[in-house]
Parts: sequence; C-alpha cells; structure tokens
Amino acid sequence: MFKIQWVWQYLYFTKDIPEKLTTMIFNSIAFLMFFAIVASVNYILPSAFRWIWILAVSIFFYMYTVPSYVLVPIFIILVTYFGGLLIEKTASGAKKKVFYLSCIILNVGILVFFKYTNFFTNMVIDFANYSRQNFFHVQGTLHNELLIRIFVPLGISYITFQAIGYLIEIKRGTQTAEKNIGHFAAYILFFPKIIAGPVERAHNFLSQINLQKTPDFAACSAGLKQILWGLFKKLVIADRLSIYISTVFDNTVLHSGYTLALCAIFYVFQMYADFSGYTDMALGFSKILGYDLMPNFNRPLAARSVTEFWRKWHISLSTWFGDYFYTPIAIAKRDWGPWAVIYASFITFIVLGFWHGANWTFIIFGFLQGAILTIEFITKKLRKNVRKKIPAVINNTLGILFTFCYFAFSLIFFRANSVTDALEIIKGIFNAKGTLFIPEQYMVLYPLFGIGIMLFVEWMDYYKHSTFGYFSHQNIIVRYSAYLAVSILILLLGIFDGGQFIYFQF
Amino acid sequence: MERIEILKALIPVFTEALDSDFDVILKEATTAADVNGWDSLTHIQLVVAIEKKFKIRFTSKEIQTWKNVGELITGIENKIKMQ
Amino acid sequence: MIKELLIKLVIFFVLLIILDRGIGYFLEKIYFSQNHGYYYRTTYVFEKATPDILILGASKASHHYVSNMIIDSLQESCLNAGEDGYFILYQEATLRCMLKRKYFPKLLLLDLNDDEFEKNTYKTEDRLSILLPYYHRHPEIRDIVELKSPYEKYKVMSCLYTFNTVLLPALSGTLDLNNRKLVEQKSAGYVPLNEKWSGTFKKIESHGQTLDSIRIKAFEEIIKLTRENNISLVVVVSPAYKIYNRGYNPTTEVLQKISQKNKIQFWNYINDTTYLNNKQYFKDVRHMNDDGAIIFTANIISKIKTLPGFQNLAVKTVAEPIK
Repeated sequence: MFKIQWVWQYLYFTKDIPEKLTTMIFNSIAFLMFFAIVASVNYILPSAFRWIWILAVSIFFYMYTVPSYVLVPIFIILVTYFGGLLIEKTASGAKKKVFYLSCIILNVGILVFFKYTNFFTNMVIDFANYSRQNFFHVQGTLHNELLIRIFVPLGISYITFQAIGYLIEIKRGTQTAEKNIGHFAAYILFFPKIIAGPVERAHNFLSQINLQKTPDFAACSAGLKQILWGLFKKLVIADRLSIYISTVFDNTVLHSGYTLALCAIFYVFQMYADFSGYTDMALGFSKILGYDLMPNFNRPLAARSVTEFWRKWHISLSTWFGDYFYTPIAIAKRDWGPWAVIYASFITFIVLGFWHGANWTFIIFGFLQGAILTIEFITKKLRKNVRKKIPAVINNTLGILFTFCYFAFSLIFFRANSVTDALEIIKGIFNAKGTLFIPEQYMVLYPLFGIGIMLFVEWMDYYKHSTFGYFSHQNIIVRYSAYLAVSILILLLGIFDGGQFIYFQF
Repeated sequence: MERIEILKALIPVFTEALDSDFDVILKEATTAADVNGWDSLTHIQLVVAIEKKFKIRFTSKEIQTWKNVGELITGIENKIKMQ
Repeated sequence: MIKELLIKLVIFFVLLIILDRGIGYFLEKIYFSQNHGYYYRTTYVFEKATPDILILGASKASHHYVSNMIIDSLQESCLNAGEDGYFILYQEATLRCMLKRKYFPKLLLLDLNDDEFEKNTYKTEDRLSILLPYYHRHPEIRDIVELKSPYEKYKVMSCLYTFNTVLLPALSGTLDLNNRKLVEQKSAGYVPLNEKWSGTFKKIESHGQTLDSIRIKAFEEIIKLTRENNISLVVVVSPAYKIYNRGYNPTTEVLQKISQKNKIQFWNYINDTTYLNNKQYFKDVRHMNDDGAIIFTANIISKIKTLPGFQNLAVKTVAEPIK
C-alpha cells in the first residue's frame, strides 16, 4: 500500500551532498577521466548507436550525485515527451489548451516545489508573525514547521526550462514533437549542459541527434581549445578571485569602503570568468562529442548599455525569457504603448532574477535590471541626441563603464545572503573608513594578470577575428606556444583546491 | 495589395519604429538578426506600428510565428484579404 | 582523423612535460634560494634548523613564546617555528623532515589551537598546499601531501604544479629589500604583537562538533616519533580570550585523553584565570600581545625547569627580551 510518508521520506535528505558533487565538476580529474572514456567510445560506436551511449552516460552522470533523484528528470521527460505528442496531435481548441497547460504547470510545479517551497512557506510564516505582533499584539513567534530539507535535483532549472520551451514551441506550431523518446531524453539529460546550461533549444539539439554527425578533427581540435581556454578562465581568474572576495565579503564589517568597492568590481570578473569558463568547457566537451551547443556569451563586458548587455550575457537564458516571457506579455499588452514594454521588462527580469535562487536578493537583482532597462528605453531618443554631439570614443567608454558599474552594483544583491547583508555592503562601500586590504599581493596580482589576458584575447577575437586569440593563428609554432603558455599559467597560477562553481544549484 | 507594395510600405514603418538613421533595407528573407536595432524590445513597437499602418489586428499567435519579413508580409496579406 | 588528433596531442604533452621540467627546475632554484620570508622560514626549519628547544605551532605559537627569554633562562638554543596557518599535519611533516636529517631536538613544545581538531576550523586540503614545493625533495612527507586529494600523487608529477601560487612570493623572498632576515634571526622566530584587545570574551558553545580523525592520528604520530627518538614532548594549548561553556572543549578533551594515555605533559591554559582576568594581555580573541607573551613565557620556563633533563639548571633571572 502506497503511503504518502514514503514520498516524504524518499525526498528527505541529510547526506553531505556538496562533497560528492564537487568530484564531477568539469575541472576535476574524475570528470576528465570520465569524459575521455565517453568521447573515445562515442567515436568508435557506429553513428546509429551514439545517442544511446550519450543517453546512458548522461543518466550515469546524473545519478553520480544522488542516484534516486534521477527519477525527477525521468518523470519530466515522460510527461513532456507524451505531452508534446498529444498537444501536436490535438486540433486547436479547449482540449489542446488543457493538455498544454497541464504539462506546463506540471513542469513549473516541480521546479517551484524543489526550489521555492521553503521560500514561500517562510514568507507565509513571516507574514503571520508580522501580523501577530503588529495587528493582534500576540507574543512569541511561530516557527516554520513546514520547512523541508530537500536537496534540489541537479540542473532542475535548466531541465524544466528546456522542457517548457519545447512545449511552447509545439503549441505554437514551430516545432514538431520528437517521436523518439530516447532522443528526447538525451536532449534533456545531455550531461555537458546539465549543470550550468546553456539552456538549449530543442530543435537545435534534436536536429543534431538525428543527424548523428561523426566528430571530425576540426570539431575535436576546436573543442579542446575551448576547454583549455575555459579552464584558464575558471582556474586562474574565477577561483583565484573567489578566495580574495570571499575573505572580504564574508566579513564585510571589518573592511574599508575601498576594499568593498574593489571586491564588487572583481566580483563581476569572477562571475564572468567562472560562468563563461564553465560554458566554454561545456561547449568544448560537446564539440568533441559532435554537438554544437548555443553560445552563452558575446563579450558582455564590452556592452555599452544594460539593454545591450543582456543580449550578450547568459544569452541562452535571456533569449529564453525574451521569447517565452517578454514577447508574449508585451504583445498581449501592446495597446498600452510604451507601458507594455515597461511592464513586460519588469515582470520578465524579476522572474529571471528569481530563477537564480529562492531569495529576495535575486528578486531585487531582477528588479534592478528591469528598472535600468526601463530607464534606458524611455531615454532612448534623448541618449541618441546626446550621442550625436559627443565623440564616439567617449560615448562608448562612458557606456561601458556605466554598464559595468551598474551590473556590479546589482551583483552585490546577487551575491549577498540576504537583503540586509547587501545593504550593509553598499553602505560600507560609501562609508567604511580604512585602507585597502590586500593580505598578499599575489592574491590580487595573479587574477589581474589573468583578467588582462582574457580581455586582450576577447579584443583580439573581435578586432582580428581570431578564435581564442593565438589559439587560431595560422603559424603552428605560434599556436602551440599559446596552448603551452596557457597550460603553464594554469599549472602555476590556477586554483586546484576545488573552487566551487557559482551557477551550480540552478 | 501586392507583396512588393507591402514590402515597400514596410520600409518607412521599420525605419521609424527602429529609430534608424537611414532607410532600413528589407527583403523577403530578412530576419531580425539582419537588421540593426530589431530585437525583442523594438519588435513590439514594430508590430504596433504595422497594425496601425495597415489598419489590421494580429493575434499573439500569428505574431510569434513570423520567422522573416516574407512571413510577415504573408501575414499582412492574409489580414488585408480578410477585411 | 584519430591518428592526426592523437599525434598532435602527444606532441603537445611531450612539449608540456619538457617545459614543465625546465621551468620547474628554475622555479626550484628560485624557491630554495630565498633568504627571508614565510616560505624561507619553512624551508629553514625543514632543512637546516638545529635548536635544542623547538616550538611548533600556528600563529598563536609565533606570538606567544618569547624565544630569547627561553634562550637566556635555560641556556639552550631555541627556535620559535610557529607561523600563521600552520596546523598539526604540517607539524608532523616538520618533525619527519628533522628526523630524516638525523636532528633530534631536546624538547619539542607543540602549541595547538583550542579548536585544532574540529573539522570546521579549517580545510585540511587547502592548508596542505604549503607542503607542495617540498614534495620532491622530501620523500618522508609525501604521504602527508597526498592527503590533499585522491589524485594528488598524479598532480605532483608536474613540477610546475608543486610550485603553484608561490611564483611571486618566492621571487620577492630572494630579494631582501628591507633586511627582514636580520630581524627574524634576532628574534629567533618570536613575533611580538603590540595592540591591546578592547572587546569582550568570545563565548563558545561546545557540543556536537565533528572531529577530524586524520588530525588526531597526526597528533598520535607525533607522540610516537618523539618517543622513538628520545625527544621530550610537551603539548601546550596557550591562552585565548575565550570562555568555553561548561569549561568543556572537544579538542582539549582529546588532547588530555591521548596525552594521559601516552604519559605526555599536557599544559592547558584555556580557562586559566591568570590570563582571562587580564584583558590587557591580549591583542585579540586568539592571540596575546607582547605583555601577555612575556608573562606566559616566564610561566612556561618555570614549568620546563621541572621536566627531567632541565632540573639541574642554576636559577637565573629572567632576562629582558631583546626589543
């Protein structure tokens, strides 16, 4: 007899999960060995069987963290696969809408349940406590008995979003439902993108699975270069900065405004190096397996407005929100004129912020994006007129600086554990007295050096049309020197003590 | 209205809505990626301007299915025919 | 295509290995020709120091034991080898290196933090990095270094990896621009602190902390090594401006138990009111300042005099430490 307690017990968790997760992150020897095996077998297998292998290792990869939790994505896959076929088959009308909405709600429900239950129950309890004290004048505080200790299944945010996007496209008629459940499962569970995206579009990936392209030398070579570059960014820049920034931000009251400001600036680079580095590795690993995933970044630090920034940062996520949130809302409200844009921007970015985590800090992060986008939208004509009177160099520089600083400011909320912590940091930046805190010079010099190289390579890629700087030079000696130089820098300056990847529990 | 006429009529609409300094170049195969300033934010204004110009009204579904200017023209064509 | 890829990969790795060894060779030269600084002091203690009385410990040790007082009082050479961030595994490594070169101090004062054995106090794996540059030269500590991660023994095949992070500091360690070496020699390792603590007690609730068995094992290993080589061992937990709830502290409890079992001297200054009643002896919750260190060292000296091997010393007045 099935008891509801069994479900609760199954989900209840006390294991020391983070320890195990660390061993399968991309910059770990365990993963590299795993991948070497996966790629070799993938290459040897005849094309028709490759997807089976990819699906099998993806399931293994997923179960490596906590085995029983793989049932969650499997459930989502089944619902979405059958739902997709059903929606496609059903003629337009109420029935189609019902199937469609049920599948969407199921996916959203799973996401909300795992990620946001505690957030919402806490909110209810906080409100109850507030009312008791201020309206009913009752003593004592309620404790949240409904808090569940649940570990969020790996990549649940990416999984549900890919599933939802798939369903939306089917309902719109722009995507044919995938007939092969194995292919669909491989799309959802594809291990290089399960931890931190990109949020891949169904048609892009499914078409590649159907093609069964054999990875050729060009793909493998490009993939390896991308992995090496990603490793550099993550180990030398991101994980280095993380040490310094954590030391400061975990003890904000002890530090001067200069130190806090420096860390806020550094944090942008840490975020970028970490996330784009990890994405580069994901794309690189995928290339070696014969799959081209969508890029997630396009020189975001060179954006001259926050509007432009969000076209270049976490592109897979912002386009997902653009296509499935912003556009439908703005279209539906288009009679409001400019208010439609403002309304849609705020809602979209608040939800986008909230997607990152179950905390008010993320909501504020999103709100800040919506606010500046609105301001930029309203002042578009004005700024254009100003631009005509000022030399382009100054315009662009000011734009880049402003965008960078605004993003750094909003990231303070993103990083802080609570809104009060974030406000403390901001207050500290403007008020705290004291000198710059640098315990060891190398703590700052090494990542600065890495940032310099990263920016130089990005500049080179844009203006000289290279790919990862000298990695794509025609001269073989120059290329190999570049690979070796980067590898040596990783060995000398990289962090090997297991820095944690930021975009992890999403 | 002929497709080529619709295309010609769209040029000032695009130019105005996208706040472009010079006439936007449009062909049947043009997509948002090809036009500077045409993104999700300006797309809405574009749609509103097009609906105003041709005195038609699209459904959300129709708007979201256009992949390029050609499909947009087809959509406009059909709407005009229905009137 | 596989052949082309594999050939290119092999060429790449061969070149990398050559560069790794080559640059690694120069880095080793630079690292071990430092003449002052944090890394130099580590090297010095591992490879050259021969004090009769050796003080090992972390930052507390370096700030609490006035070595010159000990030298004057007991007429023995003394080195305070305490450093920020050192920890029990490091101290075991130090002992092994000294024993390997057949040096046996007369007395080892092992100063431990009151939370040394608690797992959450620090991450062992991170701290072990300091031993990496010594991996190749000192086979006697390799198994300690390998505790850093399951794949450590493969990672250390790269010479450059063993010098990870140390490039810049090692370079500056070879240029003694401020005559640091002279200062360090004069004070025999003691680093006085001069600020006075103005805050309140740190109240510690002790219960349920997980203890790290690897560190406890290292402690037992140190006891074994000192016993086998006739080194007097004294374990000290020097004063801290903390109050432990119910006086109970998991680390000192374990230290007490193991010391008792092995008949080792264990001097526990936690909850000692001589210091707790005198805030002016402390710079912060964890460390005493110069005033406190002088009082404390005098006490330590009087206790050392009661140990076998130190009892026949003529009574000497405690000399003023060299300022």
